[in-house]
Amino acid sequence: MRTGAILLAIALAAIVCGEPVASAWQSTGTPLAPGDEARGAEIFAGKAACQTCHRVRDKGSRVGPDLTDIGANRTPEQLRASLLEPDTEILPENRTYRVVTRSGETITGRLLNLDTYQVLLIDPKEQLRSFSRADLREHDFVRKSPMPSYRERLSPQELADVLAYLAALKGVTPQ
Amino acid sequence: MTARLLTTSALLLLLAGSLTAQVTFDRIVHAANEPQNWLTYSGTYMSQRFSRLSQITPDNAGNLEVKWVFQARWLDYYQATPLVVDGIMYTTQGNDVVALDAATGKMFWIYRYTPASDAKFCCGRITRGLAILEDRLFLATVDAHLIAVDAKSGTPLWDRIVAPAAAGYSMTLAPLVIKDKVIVGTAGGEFGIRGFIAAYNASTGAEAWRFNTVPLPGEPGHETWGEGWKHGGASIWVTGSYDPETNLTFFGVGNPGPDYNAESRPGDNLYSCSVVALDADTGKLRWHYQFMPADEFDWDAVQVPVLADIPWKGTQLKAMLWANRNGFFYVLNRSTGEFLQATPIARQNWNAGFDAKGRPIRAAHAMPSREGVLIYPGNQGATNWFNPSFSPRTGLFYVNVWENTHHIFARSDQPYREGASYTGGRLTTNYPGRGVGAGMRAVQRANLRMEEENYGTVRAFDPQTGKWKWEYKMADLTDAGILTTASDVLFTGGREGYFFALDARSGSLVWKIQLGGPIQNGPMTYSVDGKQYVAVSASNSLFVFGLR
Repeated sequence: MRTGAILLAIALAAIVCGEPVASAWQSTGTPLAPGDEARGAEIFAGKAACQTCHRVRDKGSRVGPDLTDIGANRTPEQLRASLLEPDTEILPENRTYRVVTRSGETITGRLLNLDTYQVLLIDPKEQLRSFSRADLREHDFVRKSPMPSYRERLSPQELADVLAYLAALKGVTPQ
Repeated sequence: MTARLLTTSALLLLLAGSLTAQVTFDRIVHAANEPQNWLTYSGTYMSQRFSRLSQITPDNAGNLEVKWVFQARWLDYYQATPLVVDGIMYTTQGNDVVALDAATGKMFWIYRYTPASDAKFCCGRITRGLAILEDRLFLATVDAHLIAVDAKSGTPLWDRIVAPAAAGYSMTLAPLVIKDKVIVGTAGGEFGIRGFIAAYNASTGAEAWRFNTVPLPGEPGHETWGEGWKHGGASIWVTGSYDPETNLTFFGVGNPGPDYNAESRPGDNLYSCSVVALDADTGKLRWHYQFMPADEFDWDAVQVPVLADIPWKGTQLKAMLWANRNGFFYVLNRSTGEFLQATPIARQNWNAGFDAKGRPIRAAHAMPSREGVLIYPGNQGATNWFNPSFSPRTGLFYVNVWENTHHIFARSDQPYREGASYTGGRLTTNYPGRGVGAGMRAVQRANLRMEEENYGTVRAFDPQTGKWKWEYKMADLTDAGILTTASDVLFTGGREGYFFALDARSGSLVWKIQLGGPIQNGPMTYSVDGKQYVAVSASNSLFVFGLR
């Protein structure tokens, strides 16, 4: 698998036969209902507000992982797991990092590069920021994903639609 | 008459000039006495990578700046250490040889060599450098040719096929010249080759002797292989060392094949994962020490033997210092091969001690299975081919260590097929989001290592105790060698692209620069017209620094 694969940052929840969808999927592998890709795109941009953090091609925020080719890099099962439990697997490429400067300013953003001397990240204003580690009062990973859980936010069919949309995102294709 | 005298005088002058430029065996033996030059891959036969130059100090290293850059027209890694002889730098560009003005980087000549298209490379088309004797340079190519090139013109003088490239043989090392012989060894263990070290006449290229690192039928040690000897590996990846006093040359030998499955090679598999001490005139084995009998973790003894004369329990010891891929730092008696001490350099879980003769005792669990077993360090080891350094001033042995690496080693069945990969197993890790990953990813889009992953660190070991006095941690791993100098400056770098200088006494950082690509060779130093330079490669370019 390509190590640059992208983490999906959406949560998903539903009730199937009175049991949370997440546990049903995980324990029994219950398949989702067939999803509608077009409806999923609408939910993605609307009710689920995914573009608040994510970008697909030229629309949405750059704060979270870009999802333009998420369907080419993650399996439907991985997408589903990420939707259900966003904290379960956070790929190294998608971790959140927090720095506190000597002046006391705190900046939290998605980590882009971390080496012996520097921290590079993209902040919530989509600004590329660079810090010398020697100039920081504190710096460390944020263990919890910034992604909210959608467990109670979307219906099973809406979740299936979003999943169908995400699975269809295969990247920019040559024309 | 006058014209004839002038002509004669001019000829004598030319001859004198030519003679002074000759690199005799005696000059190489005493290479430490001319620190303006760098006459062998490791600087001297002792392979300490220590220079007596002292112009660059911990106090003024902050004034270092780039003096020139040689951009190799070669897309693979630049792992060669250049030679410098009287103001001329000789180095490689892939398998080409170039002669450069060591003060300016301008090229005098280039000898181009294209390796055979059927050559096989497990780990990159790597060439680690050259050797010189008199006015001849010697190049070992990745398709297993040994070539002599005229040092003044770049004209090839002879071309010897050392082993068949199509069968997986290659050469990655810089040759070692001793007296009138050029000594090389063959790599290709991941392709089921059968390794050897061989000496060739420097004038003609004729083979003078050969030592089989996988003994043939009738040779001592053959009984340690079963039928596995036929494709036993035991490569030679890097250059050896030499002790003129005993006339012994020392080489580290690679792992047995198939790498991760010993079922087809019952026994200790001599002389894999060993250091061998050979008579430099005949190639006869004088002694050996095997770091890893019947290795199944790919832990080649792929290090340059470092020779040092050190105090040892109230006397002087002619020592061999060796930080091994298996995670231990060894002190051996280099005259006899006697095992004296082994101490861990990094986290390891395979070793349960050593017997009185230094044979390692493998922990009960440390046996690859079909299901896989978690072993520290990983297959790339706690250190690897990149050179350490020993400073006679500080008495410390400096080595770049990979701390906290692991792999899950699993055996599998793999029949031998000529020219095909022959490893007999698979590797995984338990790093989240990582596959085989870890050690093999030399280049990343950006450095995004996880805190639970391994890291590189410079460690300064006291050979007397086997413990390190200080360390300098990096966020990522390193494939860089180490250079120390008489002014107690230590130069090294890492995969992050930083080349940096430390105070060799304390490990404190005194200078650094970002070079834009992984540091993958051993830094070296020389001087021209009294000005000290330091050379190091990053990715596929060579950078040369001097004081402002």
